[in-house]
This record gives sequence, C-alpha cells and structure tokens, in this order.
Amino acid sequence: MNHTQIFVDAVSLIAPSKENTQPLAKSLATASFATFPEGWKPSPESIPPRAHRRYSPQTLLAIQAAEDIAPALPENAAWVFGSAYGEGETLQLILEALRGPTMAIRPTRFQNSVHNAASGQWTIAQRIKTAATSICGANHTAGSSLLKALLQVQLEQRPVGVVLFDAPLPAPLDTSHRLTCPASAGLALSNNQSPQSIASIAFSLVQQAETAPQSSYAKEALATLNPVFSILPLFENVTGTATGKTVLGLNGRMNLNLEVTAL
Amino acid sequence: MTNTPGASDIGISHSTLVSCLGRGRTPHVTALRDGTSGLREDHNLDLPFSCFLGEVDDLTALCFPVELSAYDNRANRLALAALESDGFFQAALATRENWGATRCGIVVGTSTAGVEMLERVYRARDDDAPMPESYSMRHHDSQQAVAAFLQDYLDFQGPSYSISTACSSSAKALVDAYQLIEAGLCDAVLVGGVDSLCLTSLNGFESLELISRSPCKPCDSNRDGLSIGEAAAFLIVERDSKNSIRVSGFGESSDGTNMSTPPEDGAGAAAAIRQALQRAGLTAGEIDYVNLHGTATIVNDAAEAQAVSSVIGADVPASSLKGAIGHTLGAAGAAEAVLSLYALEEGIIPGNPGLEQLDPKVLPNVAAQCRNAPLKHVVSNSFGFGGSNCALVFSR
Repeated sequence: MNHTQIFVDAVSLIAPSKENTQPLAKSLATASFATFPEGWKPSPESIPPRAHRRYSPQTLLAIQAAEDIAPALPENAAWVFGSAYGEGETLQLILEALRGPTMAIRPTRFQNSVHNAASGQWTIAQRIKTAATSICGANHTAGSSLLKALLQVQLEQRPVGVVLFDAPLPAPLDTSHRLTCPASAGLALSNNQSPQSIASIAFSLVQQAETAPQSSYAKEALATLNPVFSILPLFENVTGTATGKTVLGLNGRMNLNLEVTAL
Repeated sequence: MTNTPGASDIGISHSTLVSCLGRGRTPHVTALRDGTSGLREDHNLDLPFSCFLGEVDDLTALCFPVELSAYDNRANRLALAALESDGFFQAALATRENWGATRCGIVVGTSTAGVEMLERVYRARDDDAPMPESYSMRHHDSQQAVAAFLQDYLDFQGPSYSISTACSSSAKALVDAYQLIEAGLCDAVLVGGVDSLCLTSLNGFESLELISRSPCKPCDSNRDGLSIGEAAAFLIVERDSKNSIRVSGFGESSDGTNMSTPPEDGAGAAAAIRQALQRAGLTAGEIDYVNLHGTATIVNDAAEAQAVSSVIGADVPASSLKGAIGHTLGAAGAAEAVLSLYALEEGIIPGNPGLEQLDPKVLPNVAAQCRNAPLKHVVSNSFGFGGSNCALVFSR
C-alpha cells in the first residue's frame, strides 16, 4: 500500500434519475434511476445554450461535470479526462461523409472528433494553461483515469480534476458501440487536506475483484453499460461516513485498490 | 525526473520503430544520416485528392497471430511490425520474465487506433444497413484497441491504458510510463505510439486546407502544409536500467485558446519546454539539439520557433523530421522519441528533409543536412489539437 494520502475535495455525477436530472453523488443511496429520458440533455453553464449545437453531447456532458468540480480546484490543477467511447457521435458524422464521392468533412467537425475534444474545449472555455490529458481504458476507463490522476497528485504534488464521460451513439454505431444512458462524473483531488475535503484516499494495485455497487441506483445505472458508472462504488464509499475499501477495475490482472477514510 | 527510493535509474532499455523509412534502427539511422525522405505520391488509399504520404510497405504480408485475429487491422499490424523489429519482441518477453507479468504495464498513445477498419466496414455497408454483428469496437476503433492487443499478445498484466490527445498522445504516454514506475506500481512499462493512415485524418486535414500537394517542407519559406505518415514506435522503460539513456524531464501544458491553431507567441509550447528543463535540472545552454514538432504549416512552425527561442534560445541546433516520415499524428511523439534516441546514440544532429530555403521566421540554426555532434541532452516537442503540448528531455 502506498501511504500517500490524497484528498477528495468534490465529487459530481451528471446522469438521469427519476427525481432529478442531476442526482448528486451524495444522494446515491436514495436516488432512483431512470433510463435515458427522451429529451434529456446536459446543460453546462459555461457554454451559452444557443452554442450547444456546436458541441457534441459527449463534450457537453464532460464540461458540465468539470464545471461542478472546478470551484474546488486551484488554478494550477491538472486535468484528466476519461472516456471509453470518446467523440463517437462526431466520428459517425465523419464516417457518413466518407461514404460520399468528395469525402468532404467540415473542418470544425474534424477538429472536434479527437478523443481530447472535451478536454480541449474545457481548457479553451476556462483559459486553462495547465496539463490536460485524455485517457481511454475501454471498460476500465474510470479506474485507469483515476489511476493517472492519483499518480499526478502524488508525484507532481498538485491538485487534479478528473472528468469521466460517455454517451450513447446514434444508429448505426449504437449496435456495435453499446451503451444506453449518458453520464459524466467528476472528482476534485488534492495533495493537501482543506476544510472542503470530504475523504482521503490511499491507493495501491491488488489482485482482487472489483467492488460491487451497493445502492439500487448504482446497480441499475451499471446495467446501462456506461463505463462512467464504474466509479459509483467509489462515490458510495467517499460520500459515506465510515472508512472503507473500494477496488476499481483496470485492464490486466491488477486492479486499483482505494482505501477511503471519510473526513 | 525525481526517482523515488526503490525506483532508481529508470531508463529506456529497448526501443523499436516502424515508419515509411523502414523497420528498425538501421534504415532509420541511415536515412537520418543521408537526409532521405520516405514520403511518396503513390499509395493505396482511396482519396479524392493527391498528396504525398508516409505509408509503411508490406504490412499485409505479416503473419498475424491466429489466436488474436479479432485484432487484425492496420494499426495492430503496424504494432506487430514494430514488435518484430530489432529483437523487441524477445526483449519484451525477457522483461516480463525478469519482473513478472503483473509488474509490467502498457501505455499507448494513439489518435485514431484502428478507426481505419471501422471506416472500411462502415463504407462497405448498404445505405441504412446496420453495422455487421461481426464488427468489434473493442478490437478496432476503441482507443484502447492497440494496448489491448499488446496486452493479450505479450501477457503484460500490469495496468494498461491509452492516452489520446491527438498529436501529443504518445509523448505524453512516456510521462505515464515513468510515473507508473516512480510510484512503485510497475517495474517496467511498454510505452509507445501507433497510428495508421486513415481517411478520417487525411480528409480532415484536407478540410482544414493543411495537406501539402508535395512532400512537406518544415521550416522552409515555401512550406504549404503537412504530409501525413503512419508509424509504430515502442520503448521499454524500466527501473534499474543498464542503459544510460533516459527521459530526464517532461513538461505538459494547454494553450487554452483554440482547438487547432496555437497562439502566435507559442506560449503554451514554451511553458511545456520550460517545465521539461526545470524537471531535468538543466539550463537552456545545456540543450544540444531540439527535435521540432515542425509540421510544416505556416502558423505552427512559426509559433514553435517563438517558443523554442524564448526558453532555449534561437541558436540551438534544431530540425523537424516530418519531411522524413511525415506527420505520424498520435504516434509522432514516440516515433520521434526513438529517432531522438538514435541521434543521441549516434552522435548526430539530423537534418531537416525538404528544407531548401530557410524561413527567416523560424529558428536560424535549422540545417538541411545531418552533421556529427556529441549530444548529451535533446528536447523533443509534440503538440496536438485541443492545445495539448508536451516536451520531453532525453539525456545520456
């Protein structure tokens, strides 16, 4: 076990529920899950509503989660964005264009097709000058992204904002790229404890199974196949009142062990 | 970089590179010395415009492992070709044997992974037809697809994930490799970058009017854009390395200004270079050579010159290798890291293929021809869409 203590200063979850379109991670125990309601859309405040159509649903989801945790992070924070499917909706529009004889792609569509479009748009919206990374670990993107962020906090001695996001794709990619519910999540991590710290984490790699979610919300959300929801067992632990352990999945035989102490 | 106790002497023990110049060290070192370009006008892509590409030959002749045939696509064939060059596959197996599979991680930088296969499958469908059931995102267009192939093929069972920050991807992957070892989570990491030629990238850059109709000419007064290439490059980074060559510093930053155009003053790039020197504990005067990102677009080359001048000084020897292998996008950081290692080991400052008339707005000490020089510290720059900047310092 690595004994470095890393502090969780904020968490965010953007996903549908029956009561509220934005259930706070802190209310997971009582939140009631709803499958993707018709017309449900992310609504980040830093992007004017009339400009939303210029951004993919994936990027809007990511920016909304980033907005939630940003107040807990100082200017020198680095950012880690994680997505299993990336900008799949934009990719689909490009693929369709490639079926035509001219293969003409809109320039803005191309520059927003990269996996780091969301992190790039977030740094542009907020004029962030620090490091921003974009990670894919397939179904284990949540654990992989958190691992990267924990390394940065520990070794670079700086706060890090973590943003996870994925959204369903339109037909025909929806059958080969399966997930049924949009979601994003955020964690603000710090190397120093502050009054806003809600938990501390010590991390290591272990050959143990992933922690199963406890709440009915998390169980139902995981069934939508959105890899973002893999973070929910950690959120259940972080927002609880006791010390506990959460194991998040990584690719390979080692998983990410998180010893969580509530503050 | 700061080594934690128990993770001393993190170094680069092995490397491999496949590009349009060939497979492995020998053809690349020969080309660096001779100033050869691998860019060609004839290629196998179905494009509605003409251009020069850095295409790797004979990938279809490779014997792809039957048990992993689900992963068979151009990106993974590039990866396989790199593994089979310079004894890298055997070195990887020996590394796994030495440290144990669960202590060996994988970090891959890629922009498009196997999207070339998705393009083919998608375009082959009838209008409004569903995707064929046999198509697997996991094996092809997932950004993790190359890392997943490597993990299954090499049985490296430590953490495995992918960095996808466009053209800085695989430079940033090297940072992760070091950090996984520094933190004591791995003893060795296979790190690198892979990107294949694909219609998405080529038509995308064409839409931005950035594709040159001739072989690209970085830093030249008459440069008019990119030539795209493909490559796979891998390095084994491990603790207690007997090789003296290492990453001594890194810097990462964001422009925070525009998705595809850097600020004119190169401020974001300069911040990354400055951090890299600080982490390496080096002064500007100790840098012997800068491997430029040097894409050959008017704006990018000028902004990078501003950045290098402001941190290292305008007179530092520098060159872009994009005229040799093309812009290999997500693989560029790792491919040019390996070329920088070759330069360090051979004691050469590579030339700048394509350069005929140096643009006075770029660095003055960019030479067309290779020359011998003892090198100790080399900076390699990688910048990508989203304003993603990464600078690495390699030292021996």
